[in-house]
Amino acid sequence: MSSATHWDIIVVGGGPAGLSAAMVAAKRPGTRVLVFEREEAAGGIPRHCDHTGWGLRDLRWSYSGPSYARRLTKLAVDAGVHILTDTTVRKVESSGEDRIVHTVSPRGIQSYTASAVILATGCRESTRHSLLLPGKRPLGVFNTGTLQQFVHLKRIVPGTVAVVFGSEHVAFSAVMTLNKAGMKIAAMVEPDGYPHSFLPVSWSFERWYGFRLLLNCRIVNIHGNHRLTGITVEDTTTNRRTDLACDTLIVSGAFKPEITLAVESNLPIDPAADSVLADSFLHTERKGIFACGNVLHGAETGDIAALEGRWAGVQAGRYLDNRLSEPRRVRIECAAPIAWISPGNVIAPILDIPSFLYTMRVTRRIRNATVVARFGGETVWKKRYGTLTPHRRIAVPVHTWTLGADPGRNDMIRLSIEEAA
Amino acid sequence: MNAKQYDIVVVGAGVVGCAIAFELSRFNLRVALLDSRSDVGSVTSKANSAILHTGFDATSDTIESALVRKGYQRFHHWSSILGLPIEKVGGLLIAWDEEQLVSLPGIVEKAKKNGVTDLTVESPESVYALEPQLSPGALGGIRIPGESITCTFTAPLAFATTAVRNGVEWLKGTHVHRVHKMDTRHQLQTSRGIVDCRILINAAGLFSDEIDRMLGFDRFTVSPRKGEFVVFDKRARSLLSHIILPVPTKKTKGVLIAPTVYGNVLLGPTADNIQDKSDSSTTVEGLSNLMSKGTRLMPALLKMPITTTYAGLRAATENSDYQLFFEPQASYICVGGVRSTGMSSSLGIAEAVRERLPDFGITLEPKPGWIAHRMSNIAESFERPSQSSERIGLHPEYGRIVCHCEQVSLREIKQACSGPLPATNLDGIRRRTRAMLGRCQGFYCMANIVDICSNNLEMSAESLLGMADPKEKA
Ligand SMILES: Cc1cc2nc3c(=O)[nH]c(=O)nc-3n(C[C@H](O)[C@H](O)[C@H](O)COP(=O)(O)OP(=O)(O)OC[C@H]3O[C@@H](n4cnc5c(N)ncnc54)[C@H](O)[C@@H]3O)c2cc1C
Ligand SMILES: Cc1cc2nc3c(=O)[nH]c(=O)nc-3n(C[C@H](O)[C@H](O)[C@H](O)COP(=O)(O)OP(=O)(O)OC[C@H]3O[C@@H](n4cnc5c(N)ncnc54)[C@H](O)[C@@H]3O)c2cc1C
Repeated sequence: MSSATHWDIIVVGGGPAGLSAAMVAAKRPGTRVLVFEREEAAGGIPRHCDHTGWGLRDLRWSYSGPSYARRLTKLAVDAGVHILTDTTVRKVESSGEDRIVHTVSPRGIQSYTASAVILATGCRESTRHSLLLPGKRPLGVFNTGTLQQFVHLKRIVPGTVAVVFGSEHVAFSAVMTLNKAGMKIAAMVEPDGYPHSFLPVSWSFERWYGFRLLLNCRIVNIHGNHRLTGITVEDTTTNRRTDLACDTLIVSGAFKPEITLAVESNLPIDPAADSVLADSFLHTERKGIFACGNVLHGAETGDIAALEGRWAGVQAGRYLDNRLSEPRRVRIECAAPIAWISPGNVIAPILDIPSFLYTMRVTRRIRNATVVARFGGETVWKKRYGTLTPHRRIAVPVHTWTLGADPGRNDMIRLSIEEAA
Repeated sequence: MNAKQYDIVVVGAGVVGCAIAFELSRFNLRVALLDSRSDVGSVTSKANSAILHTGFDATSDTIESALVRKGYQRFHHWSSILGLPIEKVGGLLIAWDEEQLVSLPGIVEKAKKNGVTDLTVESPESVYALEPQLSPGALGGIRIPGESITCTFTAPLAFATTAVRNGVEWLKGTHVHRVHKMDTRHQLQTSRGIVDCRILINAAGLFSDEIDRMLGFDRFTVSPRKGEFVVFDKRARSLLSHIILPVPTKKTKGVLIAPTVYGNVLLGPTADNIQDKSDSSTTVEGLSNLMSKGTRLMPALLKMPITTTYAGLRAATENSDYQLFFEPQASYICVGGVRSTGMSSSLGIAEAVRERLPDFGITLEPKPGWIAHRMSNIAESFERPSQSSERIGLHPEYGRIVCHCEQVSLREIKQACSGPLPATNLDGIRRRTRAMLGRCQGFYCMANIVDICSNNLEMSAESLLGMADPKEKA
């Protein structure tokens, strides 16, 4: 294999996770690391997320999104990482000890080989259609990410008056972008009876930006033949319908891992999270292929994705050293109302794994929840949480669990919630 | 203002009008294709099940059954020349109860009358062998090998592009308000002034009744019948291999599950009579009906993510057949009420129109130098430009992927902005390239595409986004 196309580690995706993984991996002496990024510049989502608060846990500093993206890119390049932008990875295959990475770019259709591959393809928001929001299909219905790209990357103001659908953190990020672009916010619409972000956030945003958060409201119609002219919402407690005039609808959150490449590459998928299935070493179920960042879960913040990237970079290095022994993987199965846990596998016995690694989500709000992990009939861990809210990070301290050295074959850890009456 | 003068004007650039213009472009005639919209195929012809019907289940001895049959053959013939993607996946009609089961032999007989002779009756065992993901409870079925899927976007574009390349004038954004008879000619009063022609062909779809009345007739009324659809993620494609059909009723062909040439799976359509001819909205009820129907047919499908939803309106009339009228006296041809089979029959209709033109005093002299325009492939099972090393070698921008979900390259987007029939809006880009039609529906690429198009079309980003009043109604 020619040295131009053989690398020790290839990283797919140049967002916070991929850049951090590459940077750490390149610090291993003599390791050649290549990052493929399909956009014109590396950096991922923060490139167009122009507010501060990025990098707190990984770089211990508050950056704006674009400067965080630039900073991570520089750190990777300074560590000796090669970055190829405008290059899409279409498929990753294995052949003996090699991974083959198939790409397309203006240079042509090219294949590269590597000993290990790290997938860091990130996540996106759910679309209007995947959420089954009915009505016409006018222009002016966008996700937050698209809005940000218009405003921050293209300097295009894509509307005048917006309604934001959803109330996760990112919905408030959308409000900031709308405001920055000089657009008005008519309302925020949330089908549940409570905001999914923090109450103080929604409370202060409503007052500061002067809009109303309509709880218990679902969208029942979208109007406009050419451009959006308004939406109809229904209060699910009273069945009352109201028309809201707007020319922009921002469909926010309900993040979905960008698993297209993983699917094309036949990697095992965790159906609950619709994400790549990995273990405590962020090793997928295919040897030599790792995954990190929001391709594992939709969505963690950028700094968590970056820390995961570093962990994956270290583990990929250990894999090259042949120090990643044949793992004993145990699957964690979630019972409703737990939506999913990520990573979906645990390596037993549990070794030294970072505390931020495991995270879960619930499908509805639960008060006084106690989360329990059972393994082979035995309770291995139990913790009381306060109120659990959908779409919010719930850290699961798997690093504190004790699992027997020899987990029984075919058994799995069952994660469930006990609700206080 | 001087009126533009033509031998023939085709009113309506849906798949039917485009097919007629295509047919007429082969002869030495002055022809115009006219539509209120700024692009062809932007009403019913963009929102259907995309099935190329054999016509096996058509009511025998109708105009529809004859033209679907003819259209099917001609579509297959022209597909290889024009680059229309076709996959002959076959249909599998399922009987879910005794009543349906006993109706199967009758369906086979009827198909024979319609000239479709290769149907086979299948046992429950073979139904499940063919489609293992189908819900339990099927009592039997019929396989219709000829049923095919195609690209509903490419068809009208292919016909119209060839027509325009061979001299047909494309009068976009031209709404017909009134038609006056002046001696032996028609004067069309349009939103862009007077258009004058000898023969008028009405292919106005949902509005074909209104045009018909403008010509002084009063013989049918179009009552739109809405059909809603849900399209599932490409991962669902491996769940089925056939178009899975219910036993049709008098009113509708029923809800089907079909693969698409983009590699997705489609569920629909519903059938609801509505009033408003512009109401192409999906509804809470329609979508939830589809979801529960889908769960009953194929539970595994409903576990897949949803890529998109849409609705189309069938131009149903009080009569069960096409409203095809040849009026040599009035120099007028009406091709109305083409309800639920118009894509399949379009080239059949076009041929029928051409065959009758001598009755209208038209001499058909073949046009020397006529050329067929071959479309760039946007379907999944044929090579796309970005999959060809050779093409990327010649044009590196074929290797620059802009729409990641559907793998559309920068060069394809730019090409959609140019050529004989350039896109005039984002929907036009979608229909020409598939961009923004995938999993993320433009999350990753829409801002970029608006930027690219504003540099390659004479339109600002704002008007592409429908903000500044665009010059014509899109
Ligand atoms: C709209 C939106 C707003 C957000 N706002 C915030 C916020 O304010 N604060 C916060 O902390 N988090 C935010 N997040 C979460 C965000 O996902 C993380 O902050 C972080 O970007 C995750 O990093 P990542 O590297 O996993 O993924 P990403 O940042 O998404 O990076 C993935 C990269 O992989 C590339 N890629 C994907 N597939 C391929 C392929 N096949 N070939 C080549 N390259 C590929 C992509 O182009 C992209 O650059 C937001 C997410 C979204 C979607
Ligand atoms: C739910 C559904 C499913 C279907 N499935 C299939 C299928 O699987 N296979 C199949 O073969 N067929 C199918 N069909 C049918 C097919 O889509 C239609 O028969 C076909 O698109 C009709 O084409 P058209 O050209 O007659 O009409 P249209 O596409 O509606 O075109 C008419 C055009 O006339 C223009 N127009 C109208 N009035 C005026 C005016 N006054 N001035 C200027 N322009 C005017 C309009 O703007 C429009 O562009 C389906 C239809 C529906 C609704």
